[in-house]
Amino acid sequence: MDKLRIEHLTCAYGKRIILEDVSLLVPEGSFVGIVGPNGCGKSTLLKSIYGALTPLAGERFLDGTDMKKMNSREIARRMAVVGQENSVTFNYTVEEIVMMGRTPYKRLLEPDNEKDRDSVQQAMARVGITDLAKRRYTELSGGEKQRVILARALAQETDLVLLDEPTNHLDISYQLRIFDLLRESGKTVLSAIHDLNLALMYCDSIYMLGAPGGLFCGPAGEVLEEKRIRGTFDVNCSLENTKEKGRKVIVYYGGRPEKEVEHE
Amino acid sequence: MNKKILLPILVSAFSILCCLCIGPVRITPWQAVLALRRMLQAAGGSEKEVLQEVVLVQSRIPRTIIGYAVGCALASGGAVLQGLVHNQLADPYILGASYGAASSATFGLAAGWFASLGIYQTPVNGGLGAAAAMAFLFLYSLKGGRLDMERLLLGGAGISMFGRALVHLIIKMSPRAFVTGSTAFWTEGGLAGARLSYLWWVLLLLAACVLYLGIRYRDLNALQCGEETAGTLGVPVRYLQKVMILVISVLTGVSVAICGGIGFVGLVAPNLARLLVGGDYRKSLPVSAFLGGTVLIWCDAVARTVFAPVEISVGIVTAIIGGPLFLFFLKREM
Repeated sequence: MDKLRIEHLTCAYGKRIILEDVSLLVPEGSFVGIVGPNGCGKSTLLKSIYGALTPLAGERFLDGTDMKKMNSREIARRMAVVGQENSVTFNYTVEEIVMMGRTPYKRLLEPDNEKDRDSVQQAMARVGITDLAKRRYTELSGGEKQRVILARALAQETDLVLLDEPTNHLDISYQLRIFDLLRESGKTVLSAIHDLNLALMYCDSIYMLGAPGGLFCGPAGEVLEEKRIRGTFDVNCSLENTKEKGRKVIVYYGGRPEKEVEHE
Repeated sequence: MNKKILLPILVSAFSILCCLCIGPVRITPWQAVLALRRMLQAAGGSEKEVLQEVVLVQSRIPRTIIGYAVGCALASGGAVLQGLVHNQLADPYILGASYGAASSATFGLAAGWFASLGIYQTPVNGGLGAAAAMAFLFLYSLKGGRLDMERLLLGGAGISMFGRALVHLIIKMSPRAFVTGSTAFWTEGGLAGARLSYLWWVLLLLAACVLYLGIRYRDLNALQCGEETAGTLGVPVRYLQKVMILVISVLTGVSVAICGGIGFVGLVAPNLARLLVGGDYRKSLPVSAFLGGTVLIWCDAVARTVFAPVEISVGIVTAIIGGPLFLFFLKREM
């Protein structure tokens, strides 16, 4: 079954059209990536899916239900979002921020219960921030903040997680750990990803925005091939075999594709 | 946990009792309790006792109780508004209430609007002015069905500047002493005009506003992670922003109509509360309310005693005491 289905989405900022007639499918349990050069509309696409932007046209279905017919609480119980906005106004502790992930489950004045606390503890343990629980969020490093935001999304206990370049501020160890964690969690994931090698490594299927022929989608290995990367990102690169059988890695030679590099 | 709830309640009760006793007419706490009991039993007393009762009923009880309620309301309003506009320097009066009230009340006095209402003339004129300024700002900040917080913040500053200019213009054109005095009241505030006759209405209205802000603490917390994020956490952001601003407008308008623009409480109490217990609205909102109420009635007690029998504006006292205190805490914490 399709967890998320987007049909004929068109988005614009003012009169400038960013995305035109984009359709997208996220099957249940899959890991779907969105890649593309800066300014191609990755964030715009995600934002119009989670409702921060109102698209000009298009339909969105979550678990087969039209998202227009769901209120934001219902959506928040099925879909968590890790956006790029992660500044917080006042001094909250890490634990308090992660607890905010429980908001969609709480009625007015309902206090936090055992279930909420468990879910917060688990989420913090999974991203490795249990030690930071009582620290102030504003005092954390960029990478720590990002993990807190991720823990908040995990505490939301949704089947679907939308992420907008979630590993931006993370060192390589945490980049891999976070993606491992997401893939092993059994959650359905739709994520904008900067690093093409990470996308190649983790995604079942990939949507490439800003490609010469428009939107391109397919299994990760088919989308991320030399010619298409070169055409879309304007870089010189090749795909090389690794020691691990069947796994390839993208190697870059510079940002100017007209200077072809000889390689086997 | 119980201790944490009990302490503010005890301190509040103690402060209210103390403030009933402080003033030009001396009343000891025990005499105040006896006087209250006599009033409840409708019993008579000696001449001195009757004087104490009159002072309590006519002045101390309304100004202390209303003062406490207004302090709570302004502080909670400020706490919520600071969160809504993501700016710790916001104060409920940025919505334009105090200068809106000042200009319409001053003009009303000069032009004789609602003169038949007697002592209620100024509160009615002021209240209408505050309401008009905030209603205008609300409509002005609407942008495609949502309330634009930046526009609200800057628009409020614009309206206040305009109102201020109007006030000075009216004073110049109608240089009568009572008009000038009225301006000082609206911009600095004072609880001397508080009356028992509308005490219950004000209490109910302000309590309802504060409670509404309080029960939405989870949504307010989520909003501190940004409007987009709050939306993904299931918070009806647009609706919440509009209702919250309306509620804050009502509580500010009521406060201004009764006791003018008492500055500083709405700004300092929430910041102090956050320094003490952190940002989480579940804790910081009640603590703000408690601090706001308590600080305001103590400041009012000071305002009516230091230069007795002449009173100074309570807003001046809040600023003189609150300013240094705030700077001290800020330096210690940040």
